[in-house]
Amino acid sequence: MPDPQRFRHRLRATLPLVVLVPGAAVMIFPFVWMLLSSLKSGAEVSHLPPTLWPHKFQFSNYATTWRTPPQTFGRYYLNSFILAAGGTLLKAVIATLAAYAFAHMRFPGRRLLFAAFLATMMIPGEVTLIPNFVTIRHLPFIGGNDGSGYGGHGLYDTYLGMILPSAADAFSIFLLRQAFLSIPADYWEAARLDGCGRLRYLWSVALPMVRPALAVVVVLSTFEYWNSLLWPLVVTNSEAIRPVQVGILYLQGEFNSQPNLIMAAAALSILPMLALYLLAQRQFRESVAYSGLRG
Amino acid sequence: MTISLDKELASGRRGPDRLAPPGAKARRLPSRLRGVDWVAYAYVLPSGVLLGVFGLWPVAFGFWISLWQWGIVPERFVGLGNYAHIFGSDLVDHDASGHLQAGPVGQALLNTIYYTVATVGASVALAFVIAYLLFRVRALRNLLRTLFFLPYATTITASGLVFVWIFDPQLGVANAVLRALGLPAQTWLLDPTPIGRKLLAPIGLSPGLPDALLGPSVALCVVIVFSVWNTLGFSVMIYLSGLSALPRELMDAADIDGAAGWRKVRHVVLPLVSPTTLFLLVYTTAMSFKAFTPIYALTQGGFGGGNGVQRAGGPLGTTNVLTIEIFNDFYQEQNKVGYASAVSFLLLAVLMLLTLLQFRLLGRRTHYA
Amino acid sequence: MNTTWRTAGLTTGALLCAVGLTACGATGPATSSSPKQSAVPAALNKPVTITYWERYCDEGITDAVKRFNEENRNKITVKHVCAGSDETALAAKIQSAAAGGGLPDIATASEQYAAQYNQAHLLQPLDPYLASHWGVSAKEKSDFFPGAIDRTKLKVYGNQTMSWPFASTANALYVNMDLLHKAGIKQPPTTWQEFQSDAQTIKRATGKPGWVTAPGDGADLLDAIWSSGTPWVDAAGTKAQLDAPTTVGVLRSWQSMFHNGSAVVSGNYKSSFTSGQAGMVFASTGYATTWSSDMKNADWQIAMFPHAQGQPPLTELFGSAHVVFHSTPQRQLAAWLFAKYMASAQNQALMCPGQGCIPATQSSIANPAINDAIKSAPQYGTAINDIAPHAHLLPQSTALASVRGEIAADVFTKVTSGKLTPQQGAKELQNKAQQAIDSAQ
Repeated sequence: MPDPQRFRHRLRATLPLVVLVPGAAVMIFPFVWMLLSSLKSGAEVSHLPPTLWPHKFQFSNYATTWRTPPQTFGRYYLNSFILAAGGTLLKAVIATLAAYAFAHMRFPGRRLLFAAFLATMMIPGEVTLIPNFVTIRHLPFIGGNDGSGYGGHGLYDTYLGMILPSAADAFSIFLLRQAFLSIPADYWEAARLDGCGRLRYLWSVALPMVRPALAVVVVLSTFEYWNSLLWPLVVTNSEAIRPVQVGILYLQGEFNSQPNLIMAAAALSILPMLALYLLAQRQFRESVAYSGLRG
Repeated sequence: MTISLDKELASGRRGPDRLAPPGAKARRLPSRLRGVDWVAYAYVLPSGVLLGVFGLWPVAFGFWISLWQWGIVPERFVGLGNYAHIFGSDLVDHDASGHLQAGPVGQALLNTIYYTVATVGASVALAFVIAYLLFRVRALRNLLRTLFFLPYATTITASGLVFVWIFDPQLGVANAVLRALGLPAQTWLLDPTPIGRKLLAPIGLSPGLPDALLGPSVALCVVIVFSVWNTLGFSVMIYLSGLSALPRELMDAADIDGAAGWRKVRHVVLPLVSPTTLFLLVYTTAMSFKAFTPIYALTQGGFGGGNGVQRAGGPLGTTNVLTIEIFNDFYQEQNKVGYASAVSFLLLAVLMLLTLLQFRLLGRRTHYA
Repeated sequence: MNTTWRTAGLTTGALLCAVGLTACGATGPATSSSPKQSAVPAALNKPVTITYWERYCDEGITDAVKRFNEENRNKITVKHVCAGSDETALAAKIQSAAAGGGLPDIATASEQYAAQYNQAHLLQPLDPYLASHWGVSAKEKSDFFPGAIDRTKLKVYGNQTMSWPFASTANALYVNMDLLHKAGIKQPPTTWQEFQSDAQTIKRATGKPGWVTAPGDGADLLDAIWSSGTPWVDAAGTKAQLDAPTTVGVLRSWQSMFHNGSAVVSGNYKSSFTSGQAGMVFASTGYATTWSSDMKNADWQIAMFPHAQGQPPLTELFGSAHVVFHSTPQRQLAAWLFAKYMASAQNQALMCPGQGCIPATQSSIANPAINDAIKSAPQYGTAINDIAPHAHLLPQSTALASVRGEIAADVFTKVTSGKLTPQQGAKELQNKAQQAIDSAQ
């Protein structure tokens, strides 16, 4: 006879699984189906009724997909990695600075400025494409341009040109500001009395305390840069610096009657992010847990 | 001036500052004594410059464009002509017999509202349930958490291809399942029938309302399912961090008081996470309202498009949300750039109004411990 | 505090220099103020590099560019840029460049976009080159298929030569002969009547649909009405003529096919056909070479787009041509020479089998490269010999894009799903098309 109280407790802790496990299965089904389809032969993938498990695993689909676009996927991966890492670093640094100022500094126009920042979240990206292209090409004193922004290419066809327009992001600033707000101002007063500078304090005291929010910003920003498609396509001319999504775009046209190869292409563009998330999730989870302990 | 500003900030009557957690109050007094931090401008500068140049400047530029008949290059200054066109007949129109009907922009606005309401409602509600259950459960917690987040870590264009494949009317696995269950196969992304009519048909009801008022089309519903699938992980993550930041004592106290199950959720947990909820509602509403990629990826006509020019937004324009309307006008018919800019200002105005409403209506129900 | 200022200043300083001034620097779009360069130089003075944007991004084109650069070493270098796999992506790139600078010297374009670029005064007319010693001989000119050369000089271009032949394909009927044989049919259908009855026979005999089509297939609808005897618009491009009995006939036939299940619609209609799940499909001849590897084990054919009884065979020309953008006289000349090379009989023969196009020139057919390609994919031979001679552009008008992509697509969906009768469909098609034409004027 089990202890009824303990039993009830156990039940309460495991009952959610009845909902969560099927839910999780639904969430990952598209991935499973993508991977299974990507390993089927051309005949099997369109077979009716569909087979679940491939009769024969056709790993050569991945080899075909890897080398079909103008550059191999290795190069696209490297470019996407440069974009994601560079863009995220830049975004994290400038968002942290601004968020800290909005949270803990007083200056005239703060409200107005913050509202203006938030307003940029509401602008649809399709509209900013052409104006931003004009701006990127006509940045003065850059890429051979003169002081009035003419004569050269600006940041056109460069990594920085792909990164810069989305480097400042109101959402990241908002998220970090919320986190900074929860740090009592006394901390800074104490640090100041000890002769600590603003940046020093920010780096060694405040930043560690907002690690969860920072982790969220880093993860979201990495995904965002990894997923960008239209802007990199428009603002580059050299295949050598283009990211992986552009490579997928070619394959979509090339493989339009071969779902198995399309699924392999989809898998190739998704898997690195999944791997990154799986690798980083420990760190990620610890950060979230850290904030939980503090609360 | 600065003092009154600060009072407003602290009272949290308006604006995003209502989300400020309790700790925020602590900084008030010392900062007033210290006066203005001029160095703050240096901190805000990099973001400010970038947002100004790549966020606000395009808006100003876009407004200028919207005053022109603008093809690939400006052709003719028309003042508010494009706006007059939108409000004249493109928003609400009369059909041949004089009845009111939605014009192309009006239809797109309605589609956008359907898409936004359904996506935000479903994803925030589901996210809370899942996050709360994940928070309570011990076994498999980390694994489940990872699985729920995975869809958010994917590329929309790539996972869109997978959904198009799953919901293919002929070869897709969705219909294979329906057939196996003895149910009629569906055309999914190709079905313009409104969901209201679709659901009422089997029980013999056929309402006399126009299609536009009977809910999103089946095709738009598939897009909504895709968007919820895709963004759920994000909302779960935000809720989880909100839940784990709650004071343990309060939760434990509720447990001791014997508040269990639904009562505890309703009276303790929901109020405590209401700032998170407000934030999620506002944020996902903005994101859904200006969403483009999920709809584009699922409706541009399968792998690589069809013969000739295949437009996103079908079937029968029932997935044609405002952003798709803008995109098609911008890049498929390049003589409508000025007009498309005017439509995007309509989008911006409606979205700002919505956000303001959310703060006004929901802000009052938001609790700050 | 001092250090703080300095460090924070450094962080922002670079950005300020880089970006801060641009809000004023990049005022307004750079309007197309480039002067019209019509003077044709007598010679290329020094080495020129030109930029080439195209949307197919395949080996056939890459190799062609390599050959051209090789042959013109120290004179012309073509920088080859892939601009995405669909024309919308290329259009977004060109539109941005038209506003901000950096247009290519030469690019691929379909007539719809070429007309828009021309309207914005971005394009260099090619007539001056054709009239000069850089032009083509009468013999070379008569070597082009009529469809391929006719598309270069159109009323929407102001009757100037605005493009030069590049990669032509045509709308064609693909037939799975295995399914046809099972249904006791020996030949692909040639008329719309046969098409309908064959599709129904296939459905009855095999249980599989006889025809699978793309969703909202406005292109095939306009083509079918055309090959039944009525082009969608009159020769002047001002009057829609979609209310003729031919339109009702096509719509009625298609509605009944969808009604009895012999026709289905699918987003993945191409894979549906290549995997043997449907008897027939309409698609560009561009797949004649690629599908031969997808359908190794099947007996399949490519056939002429059906036509109405008593009408001559007729199909729509797809694909794109090259357009030359305004730049300097030297670069424009180089771009023209490149365009001319790409359209030459020799290059068309070498490039097309890999690219999927049907050669623009008739003499290419004798080339061994084409013969080899036909040997490995006989369907490609049918495309070149039987379909290419009958492929022509639909009558062009600036309204065509929206008539095809929106109006005809919607009517197709409404009629095939039973929402509209064929008569109502024809009426809606006519009224909306006329509206579109009027508002485009």
